[in-house]
Amino acid sequence: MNKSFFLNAPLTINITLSYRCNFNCIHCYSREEDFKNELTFKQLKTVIDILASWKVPFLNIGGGEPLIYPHLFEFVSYATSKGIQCSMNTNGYLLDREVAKKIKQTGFKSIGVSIDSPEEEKHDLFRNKKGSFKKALAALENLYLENVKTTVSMVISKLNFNNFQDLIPILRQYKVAQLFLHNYKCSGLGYKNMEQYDLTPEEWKDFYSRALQLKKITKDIIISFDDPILHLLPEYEDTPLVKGSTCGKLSLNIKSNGDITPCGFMPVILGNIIKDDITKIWKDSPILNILRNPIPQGKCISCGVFENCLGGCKARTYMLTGEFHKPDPHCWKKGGDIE
Amino acid sequence: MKLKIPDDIFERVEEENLKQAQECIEKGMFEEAENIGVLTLIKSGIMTQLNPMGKIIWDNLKTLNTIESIAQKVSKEFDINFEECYRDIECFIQDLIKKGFITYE
Repeated sequence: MNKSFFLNAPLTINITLSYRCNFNCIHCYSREEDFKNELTFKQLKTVIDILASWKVPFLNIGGGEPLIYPHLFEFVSYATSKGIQCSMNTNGYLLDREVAKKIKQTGFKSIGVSIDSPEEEKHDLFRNKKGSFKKALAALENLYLENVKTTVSMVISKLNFNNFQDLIPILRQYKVAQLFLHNYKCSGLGYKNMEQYDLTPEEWKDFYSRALQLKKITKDIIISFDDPILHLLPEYEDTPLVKGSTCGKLSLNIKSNGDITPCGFMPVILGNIIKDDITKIWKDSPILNILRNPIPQGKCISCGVFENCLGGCKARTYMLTGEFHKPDPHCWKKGGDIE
Repeated sequence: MKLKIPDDIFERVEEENLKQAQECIEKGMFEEAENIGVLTLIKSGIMTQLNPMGKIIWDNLKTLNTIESIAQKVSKEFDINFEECYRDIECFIQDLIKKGFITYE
């Protein structure tokens, strides 16, 4: 009685209210985005109405730094009043105790804080902002004191792939519920700086093997990933909600001007939430159809795990090859079955 | 033992799928209907979808809290053998208990 999966609407919408930011991180996908044509607050309320009528349960606010957006709390209050559960990703720099109180009162489900290294110096270098590590920890503390559920996002790069595990004891101090270890996205500045900061396929393999070991022994903090190429490792035991990337299957992304993309890292516009019928896009978009039904190419054709990995991260593949069906450039497999 | 749906379960009826399944049932295409997910359940990163019969059992769980009472109602409603119905429902519920979507009171 548990039957084949297809959703009539996404489960999560990632939304950017504004691309304005107080940081200029070296891997940021959005520093070159348009800051001018943002939806008005009135239009954003319409967006909430659309998502609520479509029964989208989860809304995650990214950016840009959401705490800079002047109507953030009104926006979240409105979404919450419509039954949508909201979360947010922040660099934490502006998140003092008063803001933490406001977050609690507004009804955010959880707050994600970005920490990219257990070492203060490296985090500040990656985030291009002195003092940002201390501020991120202070944000976690303020949220903990206000009893707000927290998660931490770490973008894996050359700077942290050897000592990411040292973050765990730090997170324990603030009772962080979940650690997301994100693969390095080759979009925006991430693309420009990839030679310096992205890992080689062999390094990704080594990193994921160690990260899975850490996950196995860490019982009090959930360690999560967003990389389908993990299926290449026999020790990967998770059963993700969908096969391959989740973009366009479980989630969609809305930019600050209302444009809809499969995910924030893929500059392929499917339509606009204000001007177009999002339900039609979800159902009929040829791009989403491609993402949902990838055709194996190259080494994927003979790969024994293609049916689970579906060619890996489509945003990365598209950004680096200009195509959706090619093998994920992070994939370490040389050909044939799993090594 | 009495059954309970935990408070933190998110559920969403997939309206379009439900409509499609109802059309299949009306045309007597029961196997096709069985393969359509009409109710999505989510709990802390775990998701499952139920077909039309799964949804009926799930909906009944909200007012009836034992396998026996649900089997009685469903077997009567659909005019099917009680024992067989009980076994199927028990199997379905055990699976949802394993996934954390149902607990005991």
